[in-house]
Amino acid sequence: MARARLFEDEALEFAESIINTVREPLMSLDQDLRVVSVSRSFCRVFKVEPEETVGHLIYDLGNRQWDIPILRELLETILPEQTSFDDYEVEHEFADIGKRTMLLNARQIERASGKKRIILLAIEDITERKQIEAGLEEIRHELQQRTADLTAVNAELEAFAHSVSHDLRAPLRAIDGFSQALLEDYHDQLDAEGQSYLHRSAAAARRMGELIDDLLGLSRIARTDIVPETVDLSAIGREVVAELRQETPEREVEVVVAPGLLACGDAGMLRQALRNVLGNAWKYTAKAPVARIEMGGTMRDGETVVFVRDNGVGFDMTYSERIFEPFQRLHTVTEFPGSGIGLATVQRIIRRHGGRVWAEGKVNVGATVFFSLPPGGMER
Amino acid sequence: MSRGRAREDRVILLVEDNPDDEALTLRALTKANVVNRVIVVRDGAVALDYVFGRGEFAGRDVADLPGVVLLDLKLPRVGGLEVLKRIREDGRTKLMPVVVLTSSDEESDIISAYELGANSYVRKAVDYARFNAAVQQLGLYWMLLNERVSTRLDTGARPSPWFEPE
Repeated sequence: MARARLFEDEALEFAESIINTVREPLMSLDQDLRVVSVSRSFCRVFKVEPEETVGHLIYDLGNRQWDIPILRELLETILPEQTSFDDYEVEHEFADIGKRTMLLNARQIERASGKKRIILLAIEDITERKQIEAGLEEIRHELQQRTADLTAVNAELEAFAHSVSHDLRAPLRAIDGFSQALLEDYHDQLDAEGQSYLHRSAAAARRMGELIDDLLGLSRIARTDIVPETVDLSAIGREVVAELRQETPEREVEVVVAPGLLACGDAGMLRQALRNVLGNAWKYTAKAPVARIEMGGTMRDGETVVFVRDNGVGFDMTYSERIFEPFQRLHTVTEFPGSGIGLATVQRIIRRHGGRVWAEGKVNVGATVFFSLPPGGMER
Repeated sequence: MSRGRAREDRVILLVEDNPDDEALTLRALTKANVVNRVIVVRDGAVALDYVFGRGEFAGRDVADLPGVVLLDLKLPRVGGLEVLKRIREDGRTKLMPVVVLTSSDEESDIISAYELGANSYVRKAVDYARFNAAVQQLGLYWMLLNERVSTRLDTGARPSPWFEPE
């Protein structure tokens, strides 16, 4: 008998230590729903002392704060029928600790040899989790809304570009075309001045056509998805220089391209960026006695920084921010041709890769354009 | 050439709603000494009427295919891509040369045109010199150089080298 008693004590001690170890608040009730024991975490979460609870009716705890209708139903109706219930979500406003959301689990434990049955009740306080979930849901909703907005804006941009592409070019072709037709077919009836006017209007129409092309190109960067891969910028740089040499064979330019500059990004877009940066250097060194262009860079912690330095006309650092805005030009079209969209294009490409573009320059000494590409080359 | 006409008798079907582009295209073809007759239709629905011998073209022999169709994309009533789709869906016209000639250089238009079976996609340049050169080359290539299927297409003719049906 004494042995059995000892065994029972040990079992009880073991059970209690489990109850006190589990992070979830736990309580055991007798069949009259009076508290037999409460776990430490129950006391902590619901701000009660064990002495205030043991022997009391569960509904009377904390000035009847636990007199919750749904809890009554669970303990008095559902539990006797089903001997257990799982994950019952209960929301209740407690006087001391405010509104709480709890997850209730209970087991009715039948005991042998006519002893009274006990009820084990686990109460998980999921208030914070619910709040986080609600917050996440809100963020998700907001994100969905923003994505929908962006998609709509993108579709509008797409439609706009499409319409520009189709409709804005045709009238320009007519101006250029009929001016040329006049020049060819009615050559004899126009004096030199008349012909020059026609040449001018035709040239203006062509120039506007180029501006439209450049604008569409710029908007296309925003509308195109980046396909990241490892890109050999040095190789692209050499190819671009070869293209430039082919296009203007009369130019003599010393070019040095440092080997092995790698970055992660969209090969097509990065080529376009380098084409613009090197093309600029090429263009603005046209008046230098000995034109020199150097492409180099550094690779550190996955980030690649590239520079393209030239000894061309340079620019006044006062305007170093403006040169990246579309249609901003620091030279007249007669000095140096162009639409003023090249560096804007570069900036848009590099920003879409999560990088940065900046420039340094000095009038009549030269310019250096820098851009950085972060590891991964993904969109921000 | 059982039913085929002599090269110079084949017509060019120009589907173009912009009168300026029409005039410039016709001028370019004339300057290139392309002597073929050019049928001009100004929207997609009339283009389909011509191709399938309906409406104002009722009674036209559908088997007498144009040498080439120069097809603009942005057209009133039925758009160019839809015209192309219906031409390719019909056994009588599915191998007819269709060249998309448009102002647009949007990737989506180019892909759609080729997916629907365009033989070629040529952008109308703003620069008239380039536009002129493109139209002249098109006229010369499709009317003089290109060899077309010589029998009726709906009697089991083999596909020509310039268009592989799916």
